[in-house]
Amino acid sequence: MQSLELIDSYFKGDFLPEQKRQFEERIQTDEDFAEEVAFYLAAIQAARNQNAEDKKERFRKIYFTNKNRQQANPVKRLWPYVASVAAILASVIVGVYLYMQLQTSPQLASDYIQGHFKTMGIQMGSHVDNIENGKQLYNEGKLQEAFLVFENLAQTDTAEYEARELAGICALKLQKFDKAILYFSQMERSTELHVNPGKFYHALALMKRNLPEDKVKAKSLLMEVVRENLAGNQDARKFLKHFN
Amino acid sequence: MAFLKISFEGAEREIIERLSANGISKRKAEEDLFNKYSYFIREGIRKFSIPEDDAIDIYSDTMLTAIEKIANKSFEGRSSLKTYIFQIFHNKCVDLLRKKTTNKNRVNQTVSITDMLFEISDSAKPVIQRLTEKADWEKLKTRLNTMGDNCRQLLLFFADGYNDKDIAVVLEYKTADVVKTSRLRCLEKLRHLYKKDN
Repeated sequence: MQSLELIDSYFKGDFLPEQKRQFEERIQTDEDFAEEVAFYLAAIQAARNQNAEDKKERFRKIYFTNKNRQQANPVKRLWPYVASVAAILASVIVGVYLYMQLQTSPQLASDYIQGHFKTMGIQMGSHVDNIENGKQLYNEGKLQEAFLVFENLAQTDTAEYEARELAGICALKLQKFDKAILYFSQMERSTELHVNPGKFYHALALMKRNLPEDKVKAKSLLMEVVRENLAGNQDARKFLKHFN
Repeated sequence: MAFLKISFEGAEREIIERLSANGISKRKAEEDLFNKYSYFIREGIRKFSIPEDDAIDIYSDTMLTAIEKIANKSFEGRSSLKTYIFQIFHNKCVDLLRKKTTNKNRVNQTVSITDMLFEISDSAKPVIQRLTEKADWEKLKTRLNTMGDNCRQLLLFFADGYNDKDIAVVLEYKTADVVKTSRLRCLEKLRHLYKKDN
């Protein structure tokens, strides 16, 4: 016991240099003492090895406990994926919403024009008048020629509101916005037409032209279309959502 | 030459401090460290195509090495703790594969007490080395494990770097002196058990 205490103090660094020297000299001269020192070191090393084994066993248990817990709670394991999908969906929704919000009024007008003014309905029959000729040209993609036909008709017959409507549409497609606005606003004033989309088309032309103040004017016209339940009021409502 | 030391992120720094302190929170710190990078086990299985059992073994060994290096301040923080641990783990995986390819999977584990021998002067060292080489490690281990739980715990905590003061707190002894006396008695008892059949 006394030897072990001495050895313990030596390895804990409690000795002065002279005591240390004497201790090491004794190792070389006293075999029994040297064996005790060797045993002390071997015992500590054996305890270290045992510690390592115990810790490894403890780590293994922790690993399998965690693994089993994860397998028993697949929802918990899935949550990062669910969260990722939710985040992506949220981003898409926000993106679409922002896109809708940011969609400009000229873009809205273009989309409408592309979707609604592709072709003009031709009346079948033996009598082919100028209006039908103009529509024929329009449908063949000869916009400029069609426009001249409709414009000529509108100027020669002030009561020909269909010609004004069609001239306005052609002008819109030809990017002659001032002309389009002129014809649509003339049409707008007509009290003869049972269904009159003039005000809506006027707003559409303003949206497409997109000059300063055009947006404000277009919004005002669209609001009138909605309020007075005029032709195009459904589309006017949709457009107005983007103005807000 | 002064090496650039990196600054650790909060969680890493906290673990390093708790492991370096060698105090009563060490055990929890060891478990936290183990859990923090336990996903390396899956990476080992995937990257090196080693069985799960081997991967757990290697990762546990990695932990023991890292814990020891941190506790004895050999880990100098020239890389992040994660990088340091991954490097050890990676090297151990490569070692295992090499051993497997050369049919040396079961290599006899050599017991080293080198670090404690550093304390002894060069003139006395060979005497101790010669004597420890004769030690019967299996027998010593068996005797250690057949001792009473109190003795076993005292010796294991001491071997793990806990000082008598820390052990007194952990094992609820009155003072560090009581721990020291009890510990040396246990050591004496182990010596008797060990020598008995020799």
